[in-house]
Amino acid sequence: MIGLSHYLSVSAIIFSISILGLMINHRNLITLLMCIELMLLAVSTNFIAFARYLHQPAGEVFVFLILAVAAAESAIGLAILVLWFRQHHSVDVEQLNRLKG
Amino acid sequence: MWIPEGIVLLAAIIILLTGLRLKNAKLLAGLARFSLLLTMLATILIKTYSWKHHLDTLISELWFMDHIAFVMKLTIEITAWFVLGLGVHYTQHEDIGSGEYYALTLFAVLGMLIVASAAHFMVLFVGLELFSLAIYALVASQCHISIGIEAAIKYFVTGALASGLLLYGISLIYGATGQLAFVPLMQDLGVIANGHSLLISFGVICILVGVAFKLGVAPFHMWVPDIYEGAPLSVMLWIATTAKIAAFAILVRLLWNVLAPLGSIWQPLVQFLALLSILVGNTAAIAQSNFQRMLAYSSIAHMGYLLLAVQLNTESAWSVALFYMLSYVIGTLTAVAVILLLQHKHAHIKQINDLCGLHQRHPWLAFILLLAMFSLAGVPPLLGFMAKWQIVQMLIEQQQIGYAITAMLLTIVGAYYYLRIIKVIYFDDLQPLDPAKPNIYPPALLAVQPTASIMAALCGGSLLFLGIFPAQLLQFCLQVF
Repeated sequence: MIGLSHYLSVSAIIFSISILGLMINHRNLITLLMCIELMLLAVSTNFIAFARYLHQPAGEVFVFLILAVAAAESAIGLAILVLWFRQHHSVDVEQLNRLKG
Repeated sequence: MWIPEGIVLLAAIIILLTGLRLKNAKLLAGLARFSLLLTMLATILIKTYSWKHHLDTLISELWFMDHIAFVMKLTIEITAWFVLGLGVHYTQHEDIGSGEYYALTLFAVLGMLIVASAAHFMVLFVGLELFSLAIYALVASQCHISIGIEAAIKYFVTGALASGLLLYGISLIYGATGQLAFVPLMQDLGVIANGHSLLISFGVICILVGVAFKLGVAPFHMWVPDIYEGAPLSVMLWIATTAKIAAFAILVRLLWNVLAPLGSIWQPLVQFLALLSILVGNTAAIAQSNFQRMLAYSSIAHMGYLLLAVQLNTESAWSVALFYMLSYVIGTLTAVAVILLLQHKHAHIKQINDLCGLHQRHPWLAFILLLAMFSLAGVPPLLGFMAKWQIVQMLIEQQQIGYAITAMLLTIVGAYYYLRIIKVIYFDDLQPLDPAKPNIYPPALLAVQPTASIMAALCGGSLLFLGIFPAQLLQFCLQVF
């Protein structure tokens, strides 16, 4: 029987993967966007699992909000990425090194 | 009850639609500032109405109408009005798309107003994302400048990480208690405060880290200097003032209106964050040669002092934190206002040394900048001194003498870099920007801007006035909580 703790473990694992991805990724800006999406999905999994467990609709409604915001967020992220790509013709994280001090 | 937010939303949509065709930036700026004035008026009217008729401070578990919401909203609106007014010329000259700029700033203000009133995690989240997303786009608004885009990417990634952590913490707290609305949640947490589960403590830590990212406190401060340096100056002013007030509003709502019963979990963590950011901010600022980067580290240090009051978690400590926030915002506003007035089309002021000999060319601007620097450093007759003094006094009253002494000592370290700017302004000689063009000195005026100059003088004057007569403002802050 799959219970609450299984869902929580899965979402915790996905969440850790996404944070690790944000920290150690040194290649691709697209991967950063994917990690951010993954993080929000892990949170959504948490909310749905808790909402089922507590028999409340509130957690599920929250997931709709998160999905909508995630869409807006990736839209803005991609727009900034396009601006960057127009100037540098690459999506390399290593090139983000002009601001230092 | 939603009239202030409604006005801002309506104005943002009108500017977004007309900004496509209308290229008259002055008209759009006027519209935006007029709508903010209307919003201020509506906020005050609604507050007096609900006060007279003893209306409930909570509307359907979603929306606070209390003193905190009122003060936060009014501060955000006034600061936003000043920031818009100061940035008009700069945005025009720097070719920041005017329609988008004003629409996005108004959307950001809308998000901040929502955050200030949030009484439910969903409302808080939507407001937070609304203002964060608008500011990400604003940072990238000079789309031909490479460092601006780089700053936008960095801000976007750290901001998204912060909201992800915040949401994860919220989901854990929701799972442990089954509540998303602040008032019932705080009652539940009060009952289980002594026997709380691992789930709750982990949730509290995630929430705290998320808010710390948004406030820009060490060790979650890596993004702050980069964004301050890379963003256009007028957008940097948004991040340094209004966005900080909104982050403080989130802090108040989460730590005071929800997690106050769990103080035993978060107070030690906040102490650690506070001391570390005072240390990191004050020491790292010494090494900076870029003015905007220096301001960034100064803001990190100031957020540390703010958290030093917050960790006491009493009503009067929160009031002092609010007082400190106001002093920081007015000080930063004044400093950046002067720099904004001095930006020249051929001579950008980026480095501290570009301000050499400002006193000889513009004695009044030099004096206003002097007031701002003295206030941020905490020199006696000014507002910043009163704010720091209140915090130290509060710490001594609560028997935390060690923290008080550490804070004072690090303030002395911090005074070095503020005083260095004053030395550069008053005692160094003018240096031409380019040896080939000896006529162009860096501290040149962008254009004669009467309104913006009056605003800058007003900010500087209020630093002095409120520093000498702080009683009223302090009394006001004490009544909020």
